[in-house]
Amino acid sequence: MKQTSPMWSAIFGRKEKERDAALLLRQVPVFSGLSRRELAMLVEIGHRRAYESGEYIFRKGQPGAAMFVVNRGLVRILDQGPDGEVELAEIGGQGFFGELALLDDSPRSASARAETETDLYAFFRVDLEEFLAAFPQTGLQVYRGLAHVIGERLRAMNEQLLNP
Amino acid sequence: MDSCGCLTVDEERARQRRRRIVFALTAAAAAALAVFLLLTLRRLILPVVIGGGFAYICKPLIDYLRRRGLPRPVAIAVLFAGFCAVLYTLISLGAHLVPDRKGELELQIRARYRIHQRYEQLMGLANGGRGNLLYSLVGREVAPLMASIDRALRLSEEEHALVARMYLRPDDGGGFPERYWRYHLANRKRDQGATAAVTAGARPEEDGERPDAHYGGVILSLLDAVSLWLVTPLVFLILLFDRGRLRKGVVRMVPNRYFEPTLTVIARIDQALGRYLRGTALECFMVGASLFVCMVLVGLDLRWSAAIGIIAGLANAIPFLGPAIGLAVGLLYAIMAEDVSPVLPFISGDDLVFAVVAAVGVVQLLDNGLFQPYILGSAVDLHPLAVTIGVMGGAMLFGFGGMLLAVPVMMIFRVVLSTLFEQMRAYQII
Repeated sequence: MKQTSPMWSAIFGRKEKERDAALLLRQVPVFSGLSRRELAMLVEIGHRRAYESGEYIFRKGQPGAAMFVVNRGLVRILDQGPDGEVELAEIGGQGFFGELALLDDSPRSASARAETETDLYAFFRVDLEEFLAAFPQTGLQVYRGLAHVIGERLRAMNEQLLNP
Repeated sequence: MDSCGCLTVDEERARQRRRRIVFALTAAAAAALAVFLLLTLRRLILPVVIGGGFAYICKPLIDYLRRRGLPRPVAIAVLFAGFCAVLYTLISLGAHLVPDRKGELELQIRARYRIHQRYEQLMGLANGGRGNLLYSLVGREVAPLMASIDRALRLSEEEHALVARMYLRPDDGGGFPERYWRYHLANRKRDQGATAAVTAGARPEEDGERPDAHYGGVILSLLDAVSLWLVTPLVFLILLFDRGRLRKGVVRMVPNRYFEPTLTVIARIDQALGRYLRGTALECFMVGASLFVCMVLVGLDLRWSAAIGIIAGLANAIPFLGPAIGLAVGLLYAIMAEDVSPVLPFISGDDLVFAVVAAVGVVQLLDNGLFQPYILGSAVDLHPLAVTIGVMGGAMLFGFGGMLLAVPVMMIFRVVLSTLFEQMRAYQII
């Protein structure tokens, strides 16, 4: 394999990472309707975070400020049951969680914990709001995607309640 | 370490302890380095902050241009071209107003003559008068001030010789207007007392420096200032192209536990600073534009009105001192003004000083009653005493730059302190 100098890898390596991030976001239902240019702009406001196995990403009751997309690894969504923590969901690559934080800063309804070494993309609510205010058409698509996902999850929950 | 290669509980604890020590030492070293750089590179602070401030103010414009479909580099190029055009206009206006050596001497002579003339008129001392009521009330107190102004504006013997040479040998020194020569003689007469033998026809000594000999030092100091301020457009451009990477770099260094609180604190600072900077920029523009209009109405020529408007508008960013600077510049010009043509019929050249004071007063009323409440709103929610002490402290520590940056820095501190504790409680960190 051809070795590239640190300078070129610093320049093009970043581009590659941005391209990978854009590809990842395209898989996420909330962002799937966005064009390549819009996804590239979205990548600019995302934060890459690395979590160790067993590390909490957030805990129930904390104010929600960011939504997370799983790039690599596994995240468990947990709630406190009468006999300890209960697993509500397991989210792997291209999955996302904490999306309600995009709507307001109400407390997290559950905790999120990395089960393995996990890489995430985090989107801060204020950044996303600014981005969506600057690009309203894109914002409309994102919020439509968000409404769709929340609607589906609500439907699934209703079904679970009706057919336990 | 156990058979699976995982750390035991004790090893994990030791690792956590080591990690904390490394983080603490790194943070202490970074803080020490920051303080060292701040003190060593203090001359760069103002140009860098101004470049950054402009980038901050222009961010919504970039967003607007991008919304219009322009790619980011093109939007930045458009903005930078506009920035350069404004800068060029200001520099060319300034270049017309900054006097050369001859103009400097003319200004000095004219200022001294006019100040005395206005003073004598005001105090009833003109045409051999013995002083009016005002003179009897404050004459003794004002006399030392007049003496110090006189000392500051008095020409040295070399400068006198230079003026004489320019007047007597126009081909060599570039000539000297008859009117200012008369002023100069009157000033000299004042220096030498009523018995002095200086008359309009007296032949002065002709030696002295050449008019252009003064420029070496000025050019060197200008080059020094220009090279320092070159960093401003660079910072401006770099931050516009940055696409939030600087902030992401800061956030990346924050441990996961503090990730969301840090983002919230930064967002609150961003919001408060943005409101303050954009509000202040618009308020300064409104103050400058209002003063420009008022000065034109009062009768000052367009170029000087624009210069006074710009200076007063920029100075308005400094609490309390800004209006005083605007008034001082306006008064200085009003005192020295020669040919005034007021737009308003009830103003004459004699009461120009009062008209300028009234104009600055009107602009201050507009600023306090209209611009600040509607444009700035509650963006600066600091106690006046805190602002006063902050501005004075900033001046003592960092000079002019400290005065200019005192309020935004205080605002950042206030937002950081209030938000940080609130967030740390909310995230169960404390």
